[in-house]
Amino acid sequence: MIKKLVTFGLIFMVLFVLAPLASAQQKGLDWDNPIKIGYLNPFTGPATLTTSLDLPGVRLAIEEVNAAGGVLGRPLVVVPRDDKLNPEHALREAKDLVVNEKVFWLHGVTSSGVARAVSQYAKDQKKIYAISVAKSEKLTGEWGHRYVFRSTNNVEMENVGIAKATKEIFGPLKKIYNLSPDYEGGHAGWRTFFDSYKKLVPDAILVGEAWPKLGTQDYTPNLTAVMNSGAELMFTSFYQADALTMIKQSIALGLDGKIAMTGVWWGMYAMCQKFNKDFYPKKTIGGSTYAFWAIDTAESKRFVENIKSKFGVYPEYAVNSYAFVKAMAKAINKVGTLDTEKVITALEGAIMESPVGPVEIRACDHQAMWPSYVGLIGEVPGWDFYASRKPIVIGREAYPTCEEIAKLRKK
Amino acid sequence: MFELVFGQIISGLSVGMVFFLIAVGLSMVFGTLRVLNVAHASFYMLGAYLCYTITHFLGPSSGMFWIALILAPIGVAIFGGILELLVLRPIYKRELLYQLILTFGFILIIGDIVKLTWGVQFYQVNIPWPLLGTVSFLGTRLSYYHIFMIAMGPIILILIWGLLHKTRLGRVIRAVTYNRDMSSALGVNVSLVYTIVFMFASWLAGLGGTLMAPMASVFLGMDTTVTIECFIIIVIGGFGSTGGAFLGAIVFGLANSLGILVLPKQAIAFGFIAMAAVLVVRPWGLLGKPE
Repeated sequence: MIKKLVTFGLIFMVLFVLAPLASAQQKGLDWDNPIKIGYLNPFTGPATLTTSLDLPGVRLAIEEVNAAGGVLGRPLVVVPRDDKLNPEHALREAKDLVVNEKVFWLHGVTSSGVARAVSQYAKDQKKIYAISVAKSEKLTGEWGHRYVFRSTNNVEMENVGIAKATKEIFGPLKKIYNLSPDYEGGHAGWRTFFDSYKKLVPDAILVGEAWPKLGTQDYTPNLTAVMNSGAELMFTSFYQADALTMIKQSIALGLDGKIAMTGVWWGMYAMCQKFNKDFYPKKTIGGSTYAFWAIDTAESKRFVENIKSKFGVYPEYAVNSYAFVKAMAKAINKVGTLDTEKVITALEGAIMESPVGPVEIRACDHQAMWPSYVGLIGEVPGWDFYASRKPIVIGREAYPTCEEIAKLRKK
Repeated sequence: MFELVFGQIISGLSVGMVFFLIAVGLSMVFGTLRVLNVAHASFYMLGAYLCYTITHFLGPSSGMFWIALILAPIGVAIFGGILELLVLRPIYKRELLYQLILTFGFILIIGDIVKLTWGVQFYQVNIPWPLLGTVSFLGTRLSYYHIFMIAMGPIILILIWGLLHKTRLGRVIRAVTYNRDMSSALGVNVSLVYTIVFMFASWLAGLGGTLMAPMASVFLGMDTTVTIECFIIIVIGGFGSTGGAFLGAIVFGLANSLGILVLPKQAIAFGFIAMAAVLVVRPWGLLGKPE
């Protein structure tokens, strides 16, 4: 008897739990025939952090699109896959997504090396690939093609932008020390920064440089060398945990405040959330892709609030994926059919209605003209962390022109 | 010029001392247990994470670090002891290759344990009261915490020396290191000694991690970045030698920091060059013994 009661009880519970869930699915959409997004990013290993910040953007956009009637009467769904930060593995997953899952477009990827492999595959398969996090300028520059898009900004424009902001904020500092990580991106970043900085401050000179490896535990020997070099400005493109280590050690040495510091990604929320009134680098500027604490629009506030309440994170990367998925849904609805070529044409020059305002997807290289935000790190009223209070917004002037892109691709 | 060199020497020493704390445990385990524990640095990472958790659990005062300094290494030692008892013990008699594969597995397992427990975020621990601030000394600016870290090296060296040479346990450990079968025949509980040495080595690595937490950031993968350096230090100093690890750490720290003065672009190579030089002249290390 008791057994029967328990069984009935369970059946009732299952019915009661599942029934509301089923009805929560938007009515009227063809749920048996969804439009799939093939999402690639690391779900294992240290780089999982970016995935946890990026994927919520896709999910939120899907939710809003489906609630507003979906795409061509069909719902959008995301099929996430682990790329393991490895090009070969990512390719296998991409193939499976395209061949077996029949996704309409590929989306995501953090590593530029992985993104290049996926981009090549998308080109061969004539499938749209939307890069959301990977930042090498080459992906939409010399390696770019008809099928690849990028919704975030890129390293080159960030370095051009930070050179401009450095000059504006600190004035024409002449003696520069470069302390950057010893890999291709670190070297390329420094070259871009210094070339653009020299255009603004022609008599700027390099008084010293060092290239510690990523993951160095103690930068003190480098920092004492910076302090004794007579430099007025220290440039660096170390980021996340490495940058935090470097900042702690410069504060411990009293370097911050004496020598101006410029960190390409030191304004990112992942970094700034660690800063407070007792712990932040003085006389330091940092750049970010989305300075949501300084953007005072209702749209941005609503977006931050939504991501925070639904996914428990701040929208560091999510914003780019969110804007692109919505732009894509709009483009497909406009074309009226799932024809990749027609959708690409509709996306070229389209405006992404994003939380930072309208951002154009440039037709010539499929690069979104996403801005970057650079400012002096300090108190931001209303937030419990220190970040760039009034960041300078760097826009499309920092991107290479379409002619320059065409020249790069001809090579 | 003097200030320049002096500043680099001091910062080189501070780099060296943390590496010493990690490397000396690795060296002891190899000397006594004859096991090359490639996952040793993972205990260092675990120490740093425990330090973060304990300081944040106890409250906002940065002085809580001192409690973490006592508790975190002990936690790591207990973890090391359990690992030794359950997993390492059955493979002592196997070939070196099995030990390498097993301890390499530890790196992955500990990495995943850390990820499951603390997530993929990176963390920071504040520099503890009363070591905040800097002092000017002979024209070079030093932070109090750096001075404290530099002082910890010799203190630990003396502690280990005292343990090995002035206590009964130390005599037993040395006897087991010297001849395991003979010690066993004389009634020494070799397995217990192994566990104790492994726990002590884990404690040292945990201490290194705890001490580094206020200086660096605590992140997934901070273990693998120091592994190579530790091996360099032990090769320079001599496998199994405590004093050798100390000397090796100083040589490595100075090679790196003075290298920055001479050839900043190629500075990361200087530690390796020092190792290569030692391998050519004294393959058994500065203070090691030829086999």
